[in-house]
Amino acid sequence: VATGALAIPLRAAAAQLAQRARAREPAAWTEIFEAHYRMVYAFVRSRVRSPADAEDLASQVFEVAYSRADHFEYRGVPIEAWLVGIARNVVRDHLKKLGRRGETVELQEALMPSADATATLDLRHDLALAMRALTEDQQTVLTLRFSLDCPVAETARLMRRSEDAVKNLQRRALASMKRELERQERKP
Amino acid sequence: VSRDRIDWLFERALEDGRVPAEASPGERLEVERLLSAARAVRGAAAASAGEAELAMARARVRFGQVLAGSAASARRTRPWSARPLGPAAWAGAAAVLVVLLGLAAIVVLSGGGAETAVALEPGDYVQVQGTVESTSETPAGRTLRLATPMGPVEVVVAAGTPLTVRGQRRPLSELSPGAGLVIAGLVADDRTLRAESLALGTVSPHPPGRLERLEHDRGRFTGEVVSLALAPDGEASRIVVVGPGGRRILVTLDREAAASLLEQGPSAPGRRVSIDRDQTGNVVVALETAEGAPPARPGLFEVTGVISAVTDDGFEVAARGGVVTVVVQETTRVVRGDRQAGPGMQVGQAVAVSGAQHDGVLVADLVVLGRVRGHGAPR
Repeated sequence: VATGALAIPLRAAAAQLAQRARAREPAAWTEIFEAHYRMVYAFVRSRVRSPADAEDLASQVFEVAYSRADHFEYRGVPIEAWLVGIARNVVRDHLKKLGRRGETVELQEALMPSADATATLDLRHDLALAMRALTEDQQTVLTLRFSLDCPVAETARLMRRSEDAVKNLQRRALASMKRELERQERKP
Repeated sequence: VSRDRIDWLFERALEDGRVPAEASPGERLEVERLLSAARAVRGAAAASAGEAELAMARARVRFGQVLAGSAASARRTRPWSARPLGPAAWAGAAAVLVVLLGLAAIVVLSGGGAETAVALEPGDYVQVQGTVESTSETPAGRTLRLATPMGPVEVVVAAGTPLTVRGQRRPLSELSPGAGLVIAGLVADDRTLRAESLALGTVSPHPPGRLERLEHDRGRFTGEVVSLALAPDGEASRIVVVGPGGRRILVTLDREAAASLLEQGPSAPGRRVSIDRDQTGNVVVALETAEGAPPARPGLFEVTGVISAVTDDGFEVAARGGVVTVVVQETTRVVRGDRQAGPGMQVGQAVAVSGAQHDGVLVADLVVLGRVRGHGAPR
């Protein structure tokens, strides 16, 4: 997190990039893609079981952002916050579609053999089930804090919450997740 | 154990990789549990890091194509009127038009089942406007076939269901072919609509037509709401809006968007609204306010105000015209617009109710709860 004298040029650069993005300047969008794709992928991946779906949805996030470039206004909130907001909507739509088709589709995909080790699959499967027990805000805070390693202040900025609210949300989310993981462990 | 202290110990533990020595045994146990859950999330994320690199290479190509396609399209685009069309092009266009008209006719003539199926799903609470096509008597009660802009809807009206005209009760025998109607009810598993209240009046004549979903990149537009469907969990709702050019657009609303619309007027059909998206793609819906007197439209009985008392079977609303007693039934659909307000209904909470009058009380079929006086704005 930039503080003091460094924060001003960084904010100016972010505002300038946002302005170029709004004008749909390809170089600006390439810059945004290169800077944020990994973050968007990790965010999406923590919510969906299939890597192929995560890849497709992460791409959709940038395509939606690009199509709505003229709606983006820079008001001190970073572009990442905008992308996270779009990612939440894209994932929500995806999960609704899966729900309509039958929830088991996603879990079946999770259990299909892939290059991953079985232990990783088990961990992801258990984690995905535990994540489902959380609210959307709780899922977001865990992804930002522990998948993307965002500090509390950065997470607060991206979620447009206070730092205290983020800590509170995080504590409740981790406690719920722990309970859910233990519940799964007890299952035969 | 203080929550703030646990948060502080936990953040320290994340930085140092171990629980601070000054933690008491109880605090240590709690922080260890939080750390364990955090490690599980981190472990799964680490396992995905390699995937992200592979995915990024493919995604880079895909996004590059989007950018290139957009630039090429911008270069190619010319005003329609400036494009010359030769005889062959005209013949081709005419052939395409014939095929499209044929397809449209098939959809409409099929009874509109597919369109109404999308707009109204079993378990939904629904408000819909239309014109009575036919009526018949069945053991379940009076059955109506209602012509709606999405196609015909079968409606079952049990004896005693309130029918009103401008708030005054009327006998169900006035439900005759040609009558304009707004109905509130629940969609049964067989997709018939079980009416809870009905209001007679003139509705806009919209013939049945194909539904379009709201595209991600569609700009702001205005139109008339012709149906509202609230899912049982209250998290997602759908409205059908007849927009510019008579296009029927299906708009999905999240709980906040639905609440913000219904708080202003819980009887939705016939209202003019503007639809837009905010910068993250969330749908934003707002009532259009016309200057002067609002246009006449049939509406279900509705009241907006502030809860002045909570009773055993409902609550009382302090409204502009006085206090109204509201009865909440098992089938009443409740939309909570303010997540911070907590469960239940509270004195001082903004509320909008739609339903039917019975013996001096309002029997609610829809309750929209808003902010509690003194709370911050809803998120």
